[in-house]
Amino acid sequence: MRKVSKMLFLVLLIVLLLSGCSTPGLELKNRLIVQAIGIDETQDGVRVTLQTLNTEMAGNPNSGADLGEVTRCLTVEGATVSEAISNAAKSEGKQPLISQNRLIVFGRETAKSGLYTHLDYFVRNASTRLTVPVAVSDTTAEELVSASLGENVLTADSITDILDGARYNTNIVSQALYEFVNQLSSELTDAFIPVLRMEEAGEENKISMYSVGVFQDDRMTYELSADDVTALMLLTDKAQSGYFSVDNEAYSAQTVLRIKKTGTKIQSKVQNGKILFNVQVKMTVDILETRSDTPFSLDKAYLLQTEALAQQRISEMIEAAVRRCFLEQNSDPFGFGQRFWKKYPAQFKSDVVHWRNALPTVEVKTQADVSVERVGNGVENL
Amino acid sequence: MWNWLKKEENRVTRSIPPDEPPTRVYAEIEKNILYMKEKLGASFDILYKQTYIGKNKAFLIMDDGMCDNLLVTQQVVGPIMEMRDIPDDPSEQMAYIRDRISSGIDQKENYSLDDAVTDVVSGLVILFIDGVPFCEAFGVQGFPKRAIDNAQTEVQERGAQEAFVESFKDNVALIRRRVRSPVARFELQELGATSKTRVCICYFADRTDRQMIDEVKSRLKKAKLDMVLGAGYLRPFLESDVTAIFTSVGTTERPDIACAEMAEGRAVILVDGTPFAMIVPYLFTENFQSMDDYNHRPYYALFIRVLKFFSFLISVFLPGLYVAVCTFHQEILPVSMLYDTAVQESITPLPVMAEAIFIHFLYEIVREAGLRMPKSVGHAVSIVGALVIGDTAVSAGLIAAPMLIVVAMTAISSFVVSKIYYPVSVLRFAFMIIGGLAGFYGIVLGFGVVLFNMCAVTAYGTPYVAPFAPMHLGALWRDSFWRLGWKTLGKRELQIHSLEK
Amino acid sequence: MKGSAKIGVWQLCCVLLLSRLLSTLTFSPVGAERINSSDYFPSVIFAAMMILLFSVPLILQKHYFPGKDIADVAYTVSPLLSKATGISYVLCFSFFTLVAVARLEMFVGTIVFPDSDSALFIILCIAAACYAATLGLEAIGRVGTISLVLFTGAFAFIMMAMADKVETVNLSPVFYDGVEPSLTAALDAATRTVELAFAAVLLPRANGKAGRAFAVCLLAFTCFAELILFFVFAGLGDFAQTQMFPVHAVAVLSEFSVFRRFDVLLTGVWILSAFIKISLLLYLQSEMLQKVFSRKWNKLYVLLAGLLILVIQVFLAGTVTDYYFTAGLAARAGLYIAFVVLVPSMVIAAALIKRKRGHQHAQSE
Repeated sequence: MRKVSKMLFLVLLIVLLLSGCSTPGLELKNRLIVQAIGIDETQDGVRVTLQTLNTEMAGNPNSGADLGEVTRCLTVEGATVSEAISNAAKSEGKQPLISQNRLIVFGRETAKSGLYTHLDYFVRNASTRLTVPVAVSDTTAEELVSASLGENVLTADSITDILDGARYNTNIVSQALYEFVNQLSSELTDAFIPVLRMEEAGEENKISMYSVGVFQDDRMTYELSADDVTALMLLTDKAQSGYFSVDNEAYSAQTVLRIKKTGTKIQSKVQNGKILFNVQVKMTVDILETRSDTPFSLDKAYLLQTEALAQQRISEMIEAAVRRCFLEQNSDPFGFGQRFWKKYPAQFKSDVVHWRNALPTVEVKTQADVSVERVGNGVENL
Repeated sequence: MWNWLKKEENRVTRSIPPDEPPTRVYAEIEKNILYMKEKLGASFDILYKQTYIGKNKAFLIMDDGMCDNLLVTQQVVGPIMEMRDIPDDPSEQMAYIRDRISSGIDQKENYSLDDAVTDVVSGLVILFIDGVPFCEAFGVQGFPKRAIDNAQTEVQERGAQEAFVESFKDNVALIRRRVRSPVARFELQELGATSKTRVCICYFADRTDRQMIDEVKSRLKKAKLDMVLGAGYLRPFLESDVTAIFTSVGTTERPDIACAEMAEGRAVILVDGTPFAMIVPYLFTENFQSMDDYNHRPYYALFIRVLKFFSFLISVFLPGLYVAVCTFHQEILPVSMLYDTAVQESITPLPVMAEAIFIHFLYEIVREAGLRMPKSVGHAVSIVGALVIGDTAVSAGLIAAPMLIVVAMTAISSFVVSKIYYPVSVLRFAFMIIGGLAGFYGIVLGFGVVLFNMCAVTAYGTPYVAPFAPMHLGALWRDSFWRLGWKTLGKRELQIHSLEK
Repeated sequence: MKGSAKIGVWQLCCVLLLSRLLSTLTFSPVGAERINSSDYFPSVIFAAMMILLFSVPLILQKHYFPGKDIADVAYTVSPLLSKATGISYVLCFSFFTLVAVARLEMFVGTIVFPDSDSALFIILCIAAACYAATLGLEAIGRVGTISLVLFTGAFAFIMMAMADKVETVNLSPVFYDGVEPSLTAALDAATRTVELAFAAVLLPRANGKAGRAFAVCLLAFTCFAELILFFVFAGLGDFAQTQMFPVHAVAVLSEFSVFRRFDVLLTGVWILSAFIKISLLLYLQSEMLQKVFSRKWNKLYVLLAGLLILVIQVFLAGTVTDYYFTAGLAARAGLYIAFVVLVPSMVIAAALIKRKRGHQHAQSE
């Protein structure tokens, strides 16, 4: 028995050591570290633009030699996304590593013609980071991904920084891959992702958020304006912080408010056979700036008026956005349908069936409760 | 192949002769002299003195280097030569010398000539009188030995500084001085067919499991060795039956730790000629504990123990994980770290696994050379090592800088848990290979195998990984990764056998 | 191997729970019947009830034949029945080992090394498991205890790191399509609880109050499964339904500081748990083979069982990559009920009848 186990141990050792000769791993030096992927549909398939890190330095970094550009852009074509990406290996001799990818961008035309076929690769690939943001380029994905933003500036870095702005600005939206796929596959909620635009500013380019594209099925059909985006953020309860202004005619002043804290509760009910949603927005704001030609003191009356005006503005903003989406576009990117389905499953099954058909009859009532917490360091405007 | 290897081994070795039956002391002195001379040979350090006590022929034998000559003269030879009114009967003479003449307490009667030979080489003076069927041994040892010194391998910030020395009697005294209670027992055994090394089993009679002590003794008896020149010779006989990666026999050079272990119901084994004591049973968690933990505040002890545990994990797994991550799982690294690593790795000629093995091997060579060399040369070796590995290799692009950081972190971490340095350094290489071959999967499997190996060890009824598995919440709560304060800890003493399966 | 070594009932509990939780980790909506996400929550409760029902033979065995495993119970009827029971259990355990190895191979081949040939990984795993199995039940019990702590810790960390992505709006209404989908999912979960068969062999080897341990084990499984499913569906939403291993996808979502994913933690405990389960199964096969044949060759049995699995998995992997994936729920449930419920029930019933007859015979004499 002892002999047998010793012999087996030897065999195992040989197997292990021999297998070491053909180690299946790919070392870092043989990987193409992808930072951003841009996808544009072409007549024959897709064009994939990869922004990769340049790890092959011109010299030894320890000897202070010139390191060259940090990133490189690679455009490859193929019948499908996976084929195009694997074609990158042909031209570079390195296997793309997409686990570190920080951005997926689709061209506007591609987004308009449908994204399902291009997303499967990312959903199926185990190394994809599910929280990677997805966006649409105002022109082509190639243009956005290969945009030069200055020496050694990573486009992917800049874009993710812009999208991270969703934490501070209610006009910015960021959608992770899994959230986007969830919305795309849902029959109750329409998916939305940011639309980014590259502008030429002197010698260097500038990327900014242009709008938010809303999808029906998997096609981008319309875009939301800045106010609609704020409403979208409030209704999906994703707004964290941001700014908006109200005009106070009594004081002939414009007041800029900063959202400190906000939360939205949506209650659905069926009233006289109609679907009704009660939206309650609770918000705490600070006065950031008051603008008026005539000086005035920030008294109690002014604060109460500001609160009332803010409440009115938010209600209007939400109701206008809902109206535009529901009635003009027959689309619900806010997730009202999902809430109704969850609360009244039986009724949904029997009466609604297709949420999109029910949208024109749906009523949304908004009630905003805004309270001013601080007025800043000045007691009167200048 | 195994048989062939065994045959080859037999060709260059000889078997240990079995113990011969003891030879009794003859009544005729000439026969005894002949036997002793035959056994002791013509060694220059063995001194023989033939004399007469009354009318009877007498014979004194001693080992010059092992005895204190002044004591020999004052306690044995002087009084015998000067004694008056001696009885004529040889046996009465021997009793008279033993009871009235010699002033030393350390005396014994030997009925075996083989014991007498052992006593001579152990530093006793042996007296034969013609017509007496036994001999008298007088303890007048005075061999050269090292004075008690500071601990070298278990340095402590606070607490006692003295450490065990080679003389086991001094070591026993060091323990006795700390435990002035009759419950401390020191039982002696002699091991080694030729070396006849004295081995002392120390324990507290009131709390140690008697069965365990008997098992320790029986295991030691089974140690059929020719020479016992260090505690390490006996360790395999005291360890668990499972071939374990980590030893279940602890060692310490500190008498205070030995006392603390005895107080928990463990046995401490002192081997003559070794300045380290062995402790059985020994638990894995003890590798992360030190005497300083008990001298510091409990929260600091917790901090240090957690630190040591993480150091252990780093020293075993970090190089393997680095190899696995660079070869298979690049997705784990944050982008900035990945970029720097990729840039550095892109300039090295070797694959990451080979690079890791090479650099760690080089480090071990430098460490071993620095350890064995005289201190002055050792420093030179360190400088060369630091320059060659640390600077030149990286500048030349032979080794990536992150790999060097891994080596440095691993090396420093492994010294934090110095008690298990040796198994850890071997395991590190194993994990580097498996990390390079099978990535994180292999590392987890390897970790599992090591865990199984540790969990399979049960030493003297106590699981090696206790109190974690089987989980003893009481013991975990008292003194594991954290310890309670002395106000609580001091009320009751842990009993190691309560952790039995 | 320490044939007669006993372990604490809580240690046994830890090993069996770990083994069961591994099956929960490998939960895949692709293999199961497609149901709405919230229907999974009541299904866990139903599954616990079914498990309780399926464990009736085990409870009877413990009550009427304390200290005897299923082969020993069969021996009271006849030595031949004991051998037959032993062989049926060996086959059963072999199949479960194959399933565990196949699932591990599928996970490793899909998630950890999608570009590599998995033969090396199977060889490594089985070699390690053979070694672990030869170390005996005590070692398996202790490793199980430590691993369960690691498992819980890793999960707690992952859950905390992805807690901000949990949104209850992602969950569907409960019983939207009636109770049937929940019951189907419950049956699916219950028939994955092969640990009842393990307990039929191991229960006599455990010291302590088995009833309480079983109750705690079942409760722990229920809570854990509910928690896992909640994080999967509330975190991922319907995206979970598109993933082969949704629990792994949840771990990919977790982020902390600069570290953008913690699936490596989950992968670690996953592989470790699978390794322990395979070791336990090899050990169980060896135990049963010892009852059927000679007690002397315990290590050889482990080795043979391991080799058999290796050969099947390496050479037939193309056709039997995942048995549960290819086999329908009805086939699985049938197999499960036949081997895990019916065989022990019949053995116990036969033993009880024989015992009763023996008593009657003794009284009449």
